[in-house]
Amino acid sequence: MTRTSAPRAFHWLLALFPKAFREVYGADMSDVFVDQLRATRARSGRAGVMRLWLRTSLRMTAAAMSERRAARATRRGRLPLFDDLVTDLRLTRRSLLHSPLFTVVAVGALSLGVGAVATIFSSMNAIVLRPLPGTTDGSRLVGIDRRTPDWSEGVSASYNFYRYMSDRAKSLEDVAVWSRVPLTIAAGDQNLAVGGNIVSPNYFDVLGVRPAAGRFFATDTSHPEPVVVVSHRFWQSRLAANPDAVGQTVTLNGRPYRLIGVAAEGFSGVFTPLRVDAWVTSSAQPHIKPSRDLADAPWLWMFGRLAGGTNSDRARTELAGLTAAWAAPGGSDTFPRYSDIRLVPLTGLPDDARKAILGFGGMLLGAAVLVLMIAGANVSSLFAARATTKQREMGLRTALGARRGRLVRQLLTESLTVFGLGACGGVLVAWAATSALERLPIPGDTGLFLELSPDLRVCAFAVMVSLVAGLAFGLGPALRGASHSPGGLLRASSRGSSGRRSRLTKTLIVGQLAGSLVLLAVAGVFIRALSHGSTVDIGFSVDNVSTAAFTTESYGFDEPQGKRFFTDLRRRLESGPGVTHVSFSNFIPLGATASGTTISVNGARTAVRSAITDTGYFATLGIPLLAGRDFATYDTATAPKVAVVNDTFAAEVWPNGSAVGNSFAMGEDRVTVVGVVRSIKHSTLDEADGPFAYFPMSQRWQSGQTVFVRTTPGSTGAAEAIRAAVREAAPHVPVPTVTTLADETTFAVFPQRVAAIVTGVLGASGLLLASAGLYGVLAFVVSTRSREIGVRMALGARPSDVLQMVVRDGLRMAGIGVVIGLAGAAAATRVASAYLLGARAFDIPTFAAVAVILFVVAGLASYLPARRAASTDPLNALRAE
Amino acid sequence: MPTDIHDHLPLKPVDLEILLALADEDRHGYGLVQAVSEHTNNLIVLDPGNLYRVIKRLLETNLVAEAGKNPSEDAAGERRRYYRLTPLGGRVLAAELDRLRRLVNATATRAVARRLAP
Repeated sequence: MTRTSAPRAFHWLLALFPKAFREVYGADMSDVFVDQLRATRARSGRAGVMRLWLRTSLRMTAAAMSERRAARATRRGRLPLFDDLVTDLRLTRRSLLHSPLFTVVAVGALSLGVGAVATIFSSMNAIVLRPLPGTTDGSRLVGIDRRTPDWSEGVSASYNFYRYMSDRAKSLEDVAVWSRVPLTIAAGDQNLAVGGNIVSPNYFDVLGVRPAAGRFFATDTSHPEPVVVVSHRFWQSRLAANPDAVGQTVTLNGRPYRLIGVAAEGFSGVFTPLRVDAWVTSSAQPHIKPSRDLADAPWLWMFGRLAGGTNSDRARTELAGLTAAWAAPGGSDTFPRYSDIRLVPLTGLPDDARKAILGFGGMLLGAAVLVLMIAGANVSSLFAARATTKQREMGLRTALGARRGRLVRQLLTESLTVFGLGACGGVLVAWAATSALERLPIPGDTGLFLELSPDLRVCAFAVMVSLVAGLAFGLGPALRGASHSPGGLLRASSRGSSGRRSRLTKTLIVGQLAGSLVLLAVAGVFIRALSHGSTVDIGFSVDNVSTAAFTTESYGFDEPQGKRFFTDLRRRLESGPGVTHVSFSNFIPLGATASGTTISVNGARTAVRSAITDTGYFATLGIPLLAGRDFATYDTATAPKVAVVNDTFAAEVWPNGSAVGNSFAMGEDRVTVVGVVRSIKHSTLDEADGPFAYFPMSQRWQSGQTVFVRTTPGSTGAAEAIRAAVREAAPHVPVPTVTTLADETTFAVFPQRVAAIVTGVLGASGLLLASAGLYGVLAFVVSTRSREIGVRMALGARPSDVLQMVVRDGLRMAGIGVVIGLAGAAAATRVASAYLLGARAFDIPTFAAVAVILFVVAGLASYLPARRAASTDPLNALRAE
Repeated sequence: MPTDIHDHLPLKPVDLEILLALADEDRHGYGLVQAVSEHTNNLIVLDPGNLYRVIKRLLETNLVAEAGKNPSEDAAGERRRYYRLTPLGGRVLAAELDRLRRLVNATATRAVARRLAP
């Protein structure tokens, strides 16, 4: 029988032992542990295993330290610093086990604080910081982004530009391109819509992704037959992880493709939040993406791997030169404006989104750091209070000859141990919190998904953060704890804490209260922003509209077939029960998409945002037509080109007089404005109205369209009606995901929702910590003042006087905290104002509300110790002396 | 190396438990852990590190020695090292138990026990 080897973590523990010891007993120790693990798992399950790990790692560490010390002692005398460390650790363990409540509260508080920071960091790490999962040496991958010289605008790469770069760039080992394509894969009798990528054949090689099964594309570009690679996820969920599936033929967009390989587990393309389940090569473009070409159409994302010995700066210089030469006038390029290049780390998001998330995440990280500081201050005052009770011990040890440095070191070891345990707890908290965040539903049919769980980098970060916090908040109490003359300390009794120390503790409490007020205020302002968002006039009506997205290209339809499909679908839906309007558009307002075009009016070029719509779109969405007409069936492909513009467009371009009947140039076409509609919010709730143009679907074909179905209020079954209509119109078209327009448009407030939830949780944690701190300090003060209270009561003070006295003490701290906190909140909400959808950052009702919350909680936290003080029996209190 | 029995006394509690466990039969590491926790009602549950520190010490002081393979064990135990009590170990164990017995039986001990009994 072969024996199970011990888990890797156990080998780390073994590594702590001296080599000689390990060589003799290491294997035996592993055996014993494996047996213990097995027996414990059988007897008390996972909880038991956790306890076993915890106990074993603590004891093994201690044993290893002792063994090392013993080994050193026999070899060549002792190493004082090391011996002290062992002693300190032993003392720490004893002292922490001796006061379990203190240990639990301190470690719990720190776990919360470190966990908050680690959660945000873990999410940012997963989304924007870590190299692409599944790739090899991902830090040498760069996204190549063609921009205007001021980097304000970018354009995607054309295939010709890619070939040009690929031939000439010396600073890149290799270059690859890719683009998104919706694909339809036949699985049994059902067709599935999946996210796909069309890629240059060297795509996987450049990324350094390894196949989990089969192989990737051959780079000689002459595939005799169309081939496809699927994701590990697809292989597992749809193909039952069957190795024989590789080599089989699958029907993709209506044609046979040979499945040649499975990508590495966890690899989901270059933009990680977009689920990608299949990859085809660029040679499949005429079939998969007939609307594009492998010449000058700009539709590809480019990335490369830096050659050895180059860095990103040098590569940029070279590539910028190449781009400028390519874009030079007289060249073959159609986009001479984009003459510069930008290199961005390839971390799973487009650069603009990456920057936005870094900013947003930075703000949330700030809030989390505030929680950590509150937790740190909390633990610091716990240590300070404890130091007071340990004064006698310290005094005794000083009197017996302990040097001050020694005592500081021991106290510091104790704080660092607590903070270290806090780091472990923090990682657990982060693990739980990120899995909760992952489950937060992303609105609409965006195909986005997130994987946020912590990796080793996050663990290292948590330990570092905890260490810094431990030094920052642990050093103070350690220094003070060891800074007294022995005589004074031995004489001192419970007569009361020294003024200086209690002032410091109170300052820490005030700081905690102020910090939690800031957090609560920020959370409150975000909640305000959300409710404000629901009152913004978005210009169209989202109620009773269902939507579903289609890409006819991916069903193997050419343009006439696609048009026929949409017409047929529309006819079937219009006759459905309760349906009042049906239309199509390639654009969902306030959704996750955007499109634009460049037009020229009287020779001046301007960029406008635009959408392609079918007839009846404005009526379906309830957008008022201000002048002229909607598109009509006679606006056919051969009829004069027409457009409907919004009132902002009309007012900007034709300030004097009607826009209807005027025209502008777009590409080769002359486009006549036939109607003016009211402006609506297109991508964010707080955007200013900008020029927007609508073009008829009949004149500008796009195979990707969303259907909008408005039903009478109260009628249900729109989703089923859409699915049934699709089934009848074209049985092999994959069943679409039906959502509501209300759902899709909440995407616009998704960041605010996340911010409100995260800062709300952080604020509540901060308040919990601060009130626990307040309670603890007041309880401590009351206990040290019991004699004074006894005297007061003996002299005639009533219990209510004592109650008032203590509560007043707590509320005074809360008052100062509120004042400081409000100032901080005013500054903090200003930072958040970029995300507030036009809601006021300095919002008096919100601030007042959180101040009241803080006072109520502080009052409660003071009342409990106050009641205890008021019930003091004066005789007992005096006798206790 | 001390050969006089009394140089080894008193034994540390864990050492005593290990010697007691080996007095019954030869055991390997995990066997010792099990025997000790059973005997002490789970008061002493040894971790691998401390177990082998103790074994190392007992080997060095010649109270236990490595036993040959234990034929009664199944194949799973083939690579394991077994330990046995040495004659010196046996004598030390007997002396320690004797010492403890005398301690418990001493008049003074009994008087204290009576006085402190609930």
